[in-house]
Amino acid sequence: MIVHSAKPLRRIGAFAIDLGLWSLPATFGAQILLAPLLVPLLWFGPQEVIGLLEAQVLSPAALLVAALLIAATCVFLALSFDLYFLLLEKRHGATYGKALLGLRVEARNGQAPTLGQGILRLLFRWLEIVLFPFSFPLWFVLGERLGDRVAGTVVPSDPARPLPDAPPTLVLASLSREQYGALVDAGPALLRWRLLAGFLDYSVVCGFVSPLLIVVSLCMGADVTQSWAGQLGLALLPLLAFPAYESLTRKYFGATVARRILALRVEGATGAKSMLREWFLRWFLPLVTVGTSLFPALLSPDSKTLTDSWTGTRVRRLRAPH
Amino acid sequence: MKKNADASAITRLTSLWARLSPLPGGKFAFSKVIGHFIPYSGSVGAVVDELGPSHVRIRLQDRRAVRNHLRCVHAIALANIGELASGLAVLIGLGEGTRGIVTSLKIDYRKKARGLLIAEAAVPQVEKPTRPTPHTAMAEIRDTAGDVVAVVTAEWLLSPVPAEGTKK
Repeated sequence: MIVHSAKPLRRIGAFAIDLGLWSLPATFGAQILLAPLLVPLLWFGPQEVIGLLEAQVLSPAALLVAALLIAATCVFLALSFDLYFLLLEKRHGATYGKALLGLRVEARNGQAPTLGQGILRLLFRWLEIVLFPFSFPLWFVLGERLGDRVAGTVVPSDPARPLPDAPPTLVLASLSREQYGALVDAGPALLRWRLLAGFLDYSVVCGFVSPLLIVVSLCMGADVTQSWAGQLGLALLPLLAFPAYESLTRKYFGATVARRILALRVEGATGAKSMLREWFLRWFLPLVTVGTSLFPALLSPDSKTLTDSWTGTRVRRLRAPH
Repeated sequence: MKKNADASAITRLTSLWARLSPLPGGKFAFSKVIGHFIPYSGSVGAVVDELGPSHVRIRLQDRRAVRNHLRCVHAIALANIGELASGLAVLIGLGEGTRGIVTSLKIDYRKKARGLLIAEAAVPQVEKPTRPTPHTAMAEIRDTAGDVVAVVTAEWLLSPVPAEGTKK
């Protein structure tokens, strides 16, 4: 049976959705990578940096670091873009855009695309983006993307699928308290999940704080940014941003962005959500202990940090994101 | 022939679930789509966890937007997810060609609702109605301890979708 590729307009729509979804975390990531370049801007002020560049008095090492950071940002953007498509299409047969618009990627024999086919598709995607004036008309001539033709894949409309059979009774009602608990709670959060959540939350905060720092320093001017009060203010802003971020996301979304995605939950000693006092201690103690509170978690079977022990809180992993 | 909008809505919904739910964050995306089409149900930000014929599970995260002045989840937010769960279970179980509207909604509150809440509705297989037929569907809402915090009983008036051009 010959499977026809979906119409270009639908596929462009799916690509636009994917581009929008990818661009948000990608922009945050790029901002974090470029953050070190912002330090001289904040320290000297933008006019002075431009003056230094024009006078060609910057050391080759500084220029090399700047070039490496810009290159790393470009590589990050390209790789994340490719991996978004490659991983989702290989594993699930569709990206979010394709799934929303009812499209799927498959090999011509109806099987899931292989890794090689996925890589060929993405290599040709770049080629087609670069040679857009030629590749776009060619799409209409061939009736499919050049990348699909070369890789031996097709992107047809995904037909309606039946839902899997479901139990006709209330499942939760028949579970014992322990079974229900196991259904909801996956046990203590391992240190690696907590570190990943911390890194992701840090990224989110940096994504917001770094443009804010630029705006504030530009408004204040070079004189103020070079004064000790200005420096202190700029240093305090990121420090205050983390507790503010946790407090606001907790209040309005139930948890921080990363904790919601990774299904982590901070509980007080009673098992209920941690209270304001515990929250304050959780932010205050790491500042005092400078990260050493993490070490006990390496030895503890339930990954309990020193902060957890002091504040009587624990971090659990739920079965599903909350 | 032009497709009937009501009839194809269930198929579109189930297809969307089948496509989106395996993706990471797909259930969240599916719930946002539901929330777009049923704005009031979408206002509480519940996430559909399981969707099958006659069986639906929805979770609601306790947060400021759904709370009352007593520091627990608002009664109407609970009614909202209970009604949504029962409605999805009934209508998806019946499939295309049937529509429903709530004619009565009763809710028993048994415990203050705090933390992550899970609403579950299971509806025994119903015959496709040939004329307007009442049907009762129940949904239970539980907290993380497994306690039932509320039981929603919704009476749905089910009827076949009228053909195009006839009076609705």
